Amino acid sequence: MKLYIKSVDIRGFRAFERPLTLEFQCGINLVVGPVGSGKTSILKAIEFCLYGTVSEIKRRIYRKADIINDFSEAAEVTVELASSEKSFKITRTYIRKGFEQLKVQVGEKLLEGEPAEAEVQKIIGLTHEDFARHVFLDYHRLQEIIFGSPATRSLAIDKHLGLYTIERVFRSIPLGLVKEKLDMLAAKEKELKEELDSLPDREELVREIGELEEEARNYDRTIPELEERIKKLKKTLEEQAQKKRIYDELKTKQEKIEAIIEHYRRTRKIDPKTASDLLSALYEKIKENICEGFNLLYNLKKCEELTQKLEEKGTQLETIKLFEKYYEELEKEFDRFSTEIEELERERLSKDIALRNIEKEISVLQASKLEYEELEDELARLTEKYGSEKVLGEKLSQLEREIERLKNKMRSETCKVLLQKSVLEGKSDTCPICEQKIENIDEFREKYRKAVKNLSKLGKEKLESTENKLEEYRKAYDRIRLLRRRLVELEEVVAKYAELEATLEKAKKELEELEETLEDRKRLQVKIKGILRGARAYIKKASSLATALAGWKDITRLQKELEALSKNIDKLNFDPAEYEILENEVKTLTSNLENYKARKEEIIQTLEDKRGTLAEIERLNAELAAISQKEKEIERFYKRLLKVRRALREAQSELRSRVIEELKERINEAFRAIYRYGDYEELDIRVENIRTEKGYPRSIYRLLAKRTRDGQWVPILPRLSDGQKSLIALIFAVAVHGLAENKPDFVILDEPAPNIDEVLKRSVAIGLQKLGMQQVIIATQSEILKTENAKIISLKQEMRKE
Amino acid sequence: MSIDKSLEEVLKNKLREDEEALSLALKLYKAYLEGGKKRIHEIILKELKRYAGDEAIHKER
Repeated sequence: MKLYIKSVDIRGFRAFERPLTLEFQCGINLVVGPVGSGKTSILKAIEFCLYGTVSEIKRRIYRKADIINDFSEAAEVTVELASSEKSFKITRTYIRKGFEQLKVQVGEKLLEGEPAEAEVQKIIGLTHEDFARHVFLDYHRLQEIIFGSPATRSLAIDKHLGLYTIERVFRSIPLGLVKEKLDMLAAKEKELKEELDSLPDREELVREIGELEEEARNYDRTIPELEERIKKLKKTLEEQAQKKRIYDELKTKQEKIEAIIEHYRRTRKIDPKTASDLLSALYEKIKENICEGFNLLYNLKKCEELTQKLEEKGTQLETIKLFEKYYEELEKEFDRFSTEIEELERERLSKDIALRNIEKEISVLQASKLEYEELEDELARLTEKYGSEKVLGEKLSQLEREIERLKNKMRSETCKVLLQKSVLEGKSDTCPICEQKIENIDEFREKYRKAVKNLSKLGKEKLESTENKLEEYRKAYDRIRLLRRRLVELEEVVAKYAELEATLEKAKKELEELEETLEDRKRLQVKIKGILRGARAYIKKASSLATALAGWKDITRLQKELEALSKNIDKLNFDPAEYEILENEVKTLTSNLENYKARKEEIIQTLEDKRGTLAEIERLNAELAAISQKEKEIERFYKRLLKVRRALREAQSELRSRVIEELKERINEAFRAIYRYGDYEELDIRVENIRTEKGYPRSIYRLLAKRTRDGQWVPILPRLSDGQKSLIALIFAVAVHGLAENKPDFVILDEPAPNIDEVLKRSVAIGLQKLGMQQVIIATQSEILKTENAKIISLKQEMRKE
Repeated sequence: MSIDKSLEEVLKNKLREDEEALSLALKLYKAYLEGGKKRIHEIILKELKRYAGDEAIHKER
């Protein structure tokens, strides 16, 4: 089934805002138009419809959304493919929101989505990569084959032949990543080994654990045996302990009795008869002392009472007790007597203090008494001189009256003088006193002078003397009154002074009496104290003697008791030394048991630690084994990857040889059909394996041509013009197109050789026809490339039609 | 001629004694065609995870 493109319908794709439908024929189709008329867009629209993408999108030159015309919402391209048998209508729509749809109409059947994609793949028979290499011969890709360094040209040829993909595959294998993993695992392994090295040796540890377990088992056996033994010994010890208690009691008793007997033996030196006489003498002395004591304390009845009781015969000890009783009573009375002395002492002290207070008070009042006496003397003197207070008062009144009289007389005399003066001054010629006419003025003046003199003498001397007297009397009167008042005041003090003097006298007498009494009592106290001391000593001596005499009778009984005790002790059958040995044994065994238990605990703890360490070693070993396993696996994987890489590299090389071998014939076929210059008659492509500066293997393609003139094979590219080179590239692409299996029977050329002349372009078209291609679609700028049977699609015309 | 088919044929011949390597080579080639270098890396990481466990992969990430 030979397929060709029958028509293309384009809506909203790149430059085409308005719909455009183009019809193609079998054979040569020339899409002609000026720059920017949309020639390439038509070819890209076919590629987009068939594969849903274009090589520019894959190479990220532009985004998929950029295929939609700026003023359209969606791009839709319909390509109709036809053969002699059937036709397929493929419609692909891509809207701006990212939604894409593919529909394939096969006869009556309409496919969509995945089935439609699979159907298109089946119809075309090539992947997009292969389509780009074998069918859509792009000018830019062809240029890469002929221009540039041998290395870049070789790379472009590899890409064109599809061999570069293999290289990309083996170069993409991340061996470094795998190696890194291996290094990481090796590091981890090293770390674990170091950790293991820091732990004790496993075998040694296992041996130690075994030994400790054996020791623990031994203790498991020994400890219960020891416990049983201790239990038995303790039981025996308990029985012995009971005996020991009884033994100790008996022994204590025995020791006591022995001590008593020993004491008696010591006191046996005194003869009981002598002791008894001595005791009687002591009794007499005690009685004398106690009686004297009581008598001194004025308690005569007590002595009689004691004498009476002593006559009632009692035992020696009872007599001692009786003496002790009376001694205590005497002591009590003596205490009371001493208390009385203390009270008297206190009384004496208080009296003494009171006496001193009275003396102080008297000394204070003594000054007032002296003052009283002095004042009394002064009053007597004044009374003697001026008379009594009453007489003095009367004298004062008289003097006051005299003064008044003198003053009146002075006033009348003064008046007279003044009248005389006025006469003398000439105011009158009559005497103002006698009312007689003054005849002799000189005489009158003499009288006046005398009168003045008399007035002066009378007035001054007499009045002054009287006033002085009055003053003296008044002072005396006042002093007498003052003295009387003060004397009245001091009279009470003087009376109190007299009273205090009497009290002081009495107190002194009382104090003297008290001191005498106190002195007597104290002397008595000393005497009684001596009596008491003596009585005490006699009672003590008598008591000791009486006890010794009383105990003497018990000695025989105690000796019998001692014998009985010794028998009981023998009967008890208890050996303290054996008991001590037994006790020490129990102690030693108990201590051993504690030590064993402690050691067992220690072993258990050590075992736990060592087992923990062993577990840690086991864990580390397991981890190490796991890591080692992983390491082996990854190493195997790494080696496999290396093998795969090598295999792919070799495969690429082998395939390159095969392709080149196959390509050679097709290149020459295309060369003969297209290349018309005649300077070279045959082409050859050879592969040279070299190593880069970095040491990487690299395959370099060499294009050689057989020169017509001398039949020599020479590198062709350095000898050709750019136009000729473009032809060689086209020849190569056409040859590669011929290599593809299941390819469609059309080829699309986008400006295949832009820099060749029109004649050559026509020959290229003819050549392509000769090569048997059913349909060739060429996009070019000029219409000159006209060949017979070629369909010219002028874009301007077509667009005008629309 | 188809490069894909030819490659498979050549690889089968070269790795006929190591089925695992052959399978891996074809798998990697197919992966590259599907998703490029990134896809190959994914496969290698998956394999590493299988051999070295999660720890290694996590550390890598």
